[in-house]
Amino acid sequence: MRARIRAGDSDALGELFDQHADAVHRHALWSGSDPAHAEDVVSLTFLEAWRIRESLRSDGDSLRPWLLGIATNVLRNRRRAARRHREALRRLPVRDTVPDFADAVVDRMHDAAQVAAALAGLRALRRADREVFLLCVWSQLDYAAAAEALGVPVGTVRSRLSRARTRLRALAQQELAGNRMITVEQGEYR
Amino acid sequence: MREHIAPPVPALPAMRRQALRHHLLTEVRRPSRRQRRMRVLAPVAGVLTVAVAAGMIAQPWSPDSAPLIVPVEQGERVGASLLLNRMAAVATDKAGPPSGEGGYVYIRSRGAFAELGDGPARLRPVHEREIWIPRDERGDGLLQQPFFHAPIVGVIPQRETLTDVTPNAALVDLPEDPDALLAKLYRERQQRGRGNSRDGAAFTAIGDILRESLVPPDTSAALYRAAAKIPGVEVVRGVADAAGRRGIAVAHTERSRRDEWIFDEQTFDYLGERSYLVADTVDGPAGTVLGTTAVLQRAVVSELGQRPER
Repeated sequence: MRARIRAGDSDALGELFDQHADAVHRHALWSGSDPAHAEDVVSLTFLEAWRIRESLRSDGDSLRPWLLGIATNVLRNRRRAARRHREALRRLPVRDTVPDFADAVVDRMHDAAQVAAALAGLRALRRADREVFLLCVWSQLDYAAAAEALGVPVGTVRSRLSRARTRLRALAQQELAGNRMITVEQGEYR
Repeated sequence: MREHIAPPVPALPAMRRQALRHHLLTEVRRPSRRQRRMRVLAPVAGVLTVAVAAGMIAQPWSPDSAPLIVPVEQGERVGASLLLNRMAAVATDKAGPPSGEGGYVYIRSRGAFAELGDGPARLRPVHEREIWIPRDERGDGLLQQPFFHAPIVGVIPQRETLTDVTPNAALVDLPEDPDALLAKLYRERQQRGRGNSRDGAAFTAIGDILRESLVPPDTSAALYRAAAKIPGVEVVRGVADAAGRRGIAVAHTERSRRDEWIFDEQTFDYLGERSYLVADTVDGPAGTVLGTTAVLQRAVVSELGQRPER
């Protein structure tokens, strides 16, 4: 797969999309994107992956860490990625504006409330720590894969994750004590 | 927070995912041809300016405009005949077209249709269409709609005299027995709904009558009852017409393309039509809209070109 991607085989890109688009999409939502933004992140991630395909290392297993790393970069600086792929984004099929059926909307609101609660904790973390937490815990990359995704040494991943967990535990205790100070504001992670 | 359990987030809808995949692969396979496109687009501005100055309802249209993708919902086969028969029962209680002879049937609608061939289908701009159809006698009619010309991307307002138009009375002169009506449509398959299967042709023929004519209530009822007998007709809920009005649709699918007639869910008034792909094809991914319309007004006027009050 790596060789095919590097060689510019667009069928391989299609397979890569089939295997990992959902993971990239979830990662974007966990990072605080709204649904429309999360879809843009999916498109931009794969367009970026294609653009930098020649820089892909030829050895290694799953390409998920590589893609989540690109997604993390897109999320950090979406405007730059959007500028680079402006033409392609302009041709992105528009989302249907007809609202969902009531049931689906209620489901989504329920989910959204849970995500908001979970993100409320994450928001208190430094960005670098938060990225490691998302990759290692929610996207379930191992330390080495997260290190590859973020382009940092494994030791750094370990120490950031440890700091994130300590902070989150402290916040959870505060919350139990009824001292709830954290709220999520719209657009916090854009 | 139980950190090892990631919070549930809505999944990327399958249709949307397919559309994004299709877009991605189209983009990376797209030959670089920006230079040429710039030259093609250059003279366009002038044409559009003329159209706007002439007071046309037109949106700038570029060959790069995004295709419109709608979610493809599961149709319900069992509900279709029930719905159509209820619609027929309601139709017979409605007031018919004004009595008396002469004049023209006037129908104002809006809609957009996709251009097919050469890659994914892209909708042309939504535009308004007015048609005058002689009511009783074969003769001249009139059609007013913007005229789209692909190579010069632009729009020219156009009023076109139609000659030898089949009068409305002939269009709606149909048997009131649904079996006889359907048999007639099957028989006249070559004239109506060409290129489809027998059932698809009958569905298309009824759709054509519903779209641009003024149908007496009994004929409407017969059309609905006949449609209920077409194998494969489905109900699709939660659809919208080209004016954004929501309704319930009666649909038929053939060769990966679903055609829907949209009705108001309470009154069963005809709203418009929609047609889209239900599978990935060379014309685009599933959900790609090929056509969308909305009938805004139907009336009888006495003169060709005369408009009723809105």
